[in-house]
Amino acid sequence: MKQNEERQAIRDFIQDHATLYEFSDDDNIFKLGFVNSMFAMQLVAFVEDAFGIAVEDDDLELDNFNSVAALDRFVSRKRGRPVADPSAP
Amino acid sequence: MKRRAGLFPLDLTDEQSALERSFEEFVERDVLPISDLIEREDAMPPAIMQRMAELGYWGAAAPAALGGMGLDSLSFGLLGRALGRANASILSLLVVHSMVCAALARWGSKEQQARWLPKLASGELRASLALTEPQGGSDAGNLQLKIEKAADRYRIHGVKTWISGAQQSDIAIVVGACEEKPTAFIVDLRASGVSRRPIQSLLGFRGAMLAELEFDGYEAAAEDMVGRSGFGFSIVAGYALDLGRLLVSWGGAGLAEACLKLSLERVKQRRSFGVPLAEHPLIQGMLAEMIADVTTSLLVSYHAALARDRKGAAADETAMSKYVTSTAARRVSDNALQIFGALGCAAESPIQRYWRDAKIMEIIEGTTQIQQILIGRHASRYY
Repeated sequence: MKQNEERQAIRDFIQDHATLYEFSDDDNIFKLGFVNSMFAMQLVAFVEDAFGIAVEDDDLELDNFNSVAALDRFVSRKRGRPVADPSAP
Repeated sequence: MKRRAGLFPLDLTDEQSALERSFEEFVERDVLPISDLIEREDAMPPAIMQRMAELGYWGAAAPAALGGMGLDSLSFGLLGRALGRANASILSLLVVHSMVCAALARWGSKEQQARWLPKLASGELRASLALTEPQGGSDAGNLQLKIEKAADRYRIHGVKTWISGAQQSDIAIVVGACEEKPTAFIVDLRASGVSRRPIQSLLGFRGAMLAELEFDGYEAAAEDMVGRSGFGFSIVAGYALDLGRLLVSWGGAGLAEACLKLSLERVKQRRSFGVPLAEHPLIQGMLAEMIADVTTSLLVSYHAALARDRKGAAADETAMSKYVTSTAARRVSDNALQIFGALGCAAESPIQRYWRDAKIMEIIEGTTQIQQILIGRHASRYY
């Protein structure tokens, strides 16, 4: 799967669970209440199943899971791809 | 006698079928003969706990590499089904212990796994999951139990209640608010700073050895944290509850099956107005409801188990399964009690125990209403 396809797959999965909401790739889906905290477990299962990566204890940081963009960066890192600093101008 | 497998027999591998037979032999030989005793004593005989250790069942959710059985979800479900038929209290103790094993196997550090899982798998130690608080059952994320960080130690203050197995469990995964973030710790319940108050004479699950746990400055080490700060509820407890819902689902299916089979025998034997009950249309109507409920319970539990093994965790599927089977178990046990009448209400009848235990199944591992919220919120995903 190409990277833009990965991002779309992530977006589709979240949208599937937050059907009543529209959100940007950078919106914090937990803070905005689109999903509850238990959804984090489903996100873990999804990225492992969809992208063949293993989420480990050290990966459990909210910053890895709280938006489409954050998940995309996380998956890229796990796959060994360079990731742009989101805070860079 | 030919074993009847229902209208839609489950598709099992040879290994799963062999395990299923062994589970059935276990409950026939070791559990059913003591079910009444468990109810009367409001306690679990140590001998059955030991027997389960001998058979390796305490390690059902632990990896084989660490001494467990490493059962797949469907095989584990078959054990749940057998226990649901025989004694829901034993099922409950196995469920809570296994939830802890599963959470540690998935999210525990290598050191935690090496330290705890072999002993949990062998049954040398038993575990509980301490999530519910006096002010929060369904609102489990609203944690009042506080975990204060002090240098490299953590002090726990607060109360957990309705904790299955906690009268005798050796360790627990406790979820509390640490710097306002839900965080899970392994706690040694035998250590100072923890006290237990047994909870007895419940409506159902009378042998499940529930207790209230009070933590008064219990000291935990940093390496006792399971997973990371902030993920104690969503990831650690969430993963554990995924297994818990699945096993309660299978247990409910087993309980419902037991009610159906006893009712089928009853309606053949008992005569009323000159004919067997089985020939009365209103009884046939009740049997039809029961058969439909048992059938759907088994099918939804089966598919939830397959989904969990395919995906690692299957929150949507296990929520659906638990909702369907626990509400079905209540209806089936209700119909069974109606069929048996006064006889079903007698203390020595298993029907009244099934009826009481079925009601408890609608409350544990997420109430019916919580499952409805989980399912309803995502309804447009399915249709």
